[in-house]
Amino acid sequence: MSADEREAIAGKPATGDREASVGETSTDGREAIAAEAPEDDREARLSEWMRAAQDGDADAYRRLLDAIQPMIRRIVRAKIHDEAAAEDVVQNALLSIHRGRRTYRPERPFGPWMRAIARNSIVDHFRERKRKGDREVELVQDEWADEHEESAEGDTRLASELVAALDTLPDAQREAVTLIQIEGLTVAEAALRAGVSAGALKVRAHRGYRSLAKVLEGERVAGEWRSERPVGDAAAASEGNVEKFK
Amino acid sequence: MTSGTERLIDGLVEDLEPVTPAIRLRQAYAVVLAVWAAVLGLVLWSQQSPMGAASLFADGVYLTSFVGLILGALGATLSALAAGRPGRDRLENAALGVSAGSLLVASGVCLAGMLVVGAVPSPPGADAMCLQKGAWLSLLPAGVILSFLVRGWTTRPLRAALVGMLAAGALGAAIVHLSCDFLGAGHLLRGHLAVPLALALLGTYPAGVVLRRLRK
Repeated sequence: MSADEREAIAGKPATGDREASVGETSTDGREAIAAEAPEDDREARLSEWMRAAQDGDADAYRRLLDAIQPMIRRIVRAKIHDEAAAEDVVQNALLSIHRGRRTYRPERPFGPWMRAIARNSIVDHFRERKRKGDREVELVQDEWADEHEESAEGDTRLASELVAALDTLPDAQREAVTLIQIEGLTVAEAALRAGVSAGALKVRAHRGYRSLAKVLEGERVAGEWRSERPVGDAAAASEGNVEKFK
Repeated sequence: MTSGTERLIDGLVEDLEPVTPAIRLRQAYAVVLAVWAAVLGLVLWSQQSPMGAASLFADGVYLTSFVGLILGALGATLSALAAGRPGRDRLENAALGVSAGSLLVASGVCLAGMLVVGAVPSPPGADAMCLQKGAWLSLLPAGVILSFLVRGWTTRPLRAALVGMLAAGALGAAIVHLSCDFLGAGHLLRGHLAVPLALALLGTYPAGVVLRRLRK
């Protein structure tokens, strides 16, 4: 377990978190209200909105999510400095809050409940990053682009081969790959659309990428994929010029 | 706010449905203990004479291991139930500490008893019989604890499953303890105190998988 992970589990307040509760300048009105309100008032308001959200009040729920997302972002950004990764974690935390909203008890303070979920999303991020390691599939995207940029015909063939390869995937994997890579949704958005957790969607997408890579590589070996580069050199040639799918 | 997060919030608001808040932790705790008390009552009633209960104060090792099992069960149950509720981490960890400490002390006392008094041989098959009986009696409490975990939001499913299985095992072992009149320290260690460990070894992974799946 990394130091970041341990710290996240221990729940040490992030440096930005404390500052945020005192007050913060923001261009977003709701964010400013959430940050500047006295701690007790804010806590009471968030708790009230959550209670209403549990009863199905969509307006209260939107106000709640708008108010807490900058708070969650501050907690996350104190631990994760990569902006894109941090935004993913913020979205996962929002998704977890949505899925676990029935575990909030109205008589208890809202802040610790929300922060616990945010911290766990951070821990999940570090665990997943550690787990991913060697399992990442490397696709030589730039090479493929180089090979085909001179030929519109090549692009068409690549698209049709990708579509054919996508058709060979199981439904769940195809859905995950399509939502993320073709529709351009974030993992959290795609997870919400697919009705699964963000972790499960990532696993499906990862398996999908692997299967796609195998299918496309098979086609190259079979000669359907005409490349000037020998197939066996692909991995070696990819060094330093590799696009990793996350 | 990034447009991706904004879109997600739109989606979450659209997806909103009314939910019933999970029952209070103390209520869930009371339900688990009530189920355990009912099973205990049934076992003692079916035995006609509560053999172990009668000799509870007759032997120090027997009493200590009973207290260890009870504290271990109460602590682990509380910890497991708290694991399904975000923001109750401190309670979860403190209760788990009490539970693990109690079970370790009870095991240590049994070991010491074996060394001081000498290993009293158990009746043939007694250890395995108590272990098996304890495991069976743990199933109902395990089901109740798991059902609360499934309806909660477990951030660490495998750990929650482990603690839940420890709790159920200790609850089952406490019933066996009260219904068994064999006082040998070695038997108490192998036949009674080993139940939580056995259940944790056998049940953690399947229960963790169930929790993970149902959480999705």
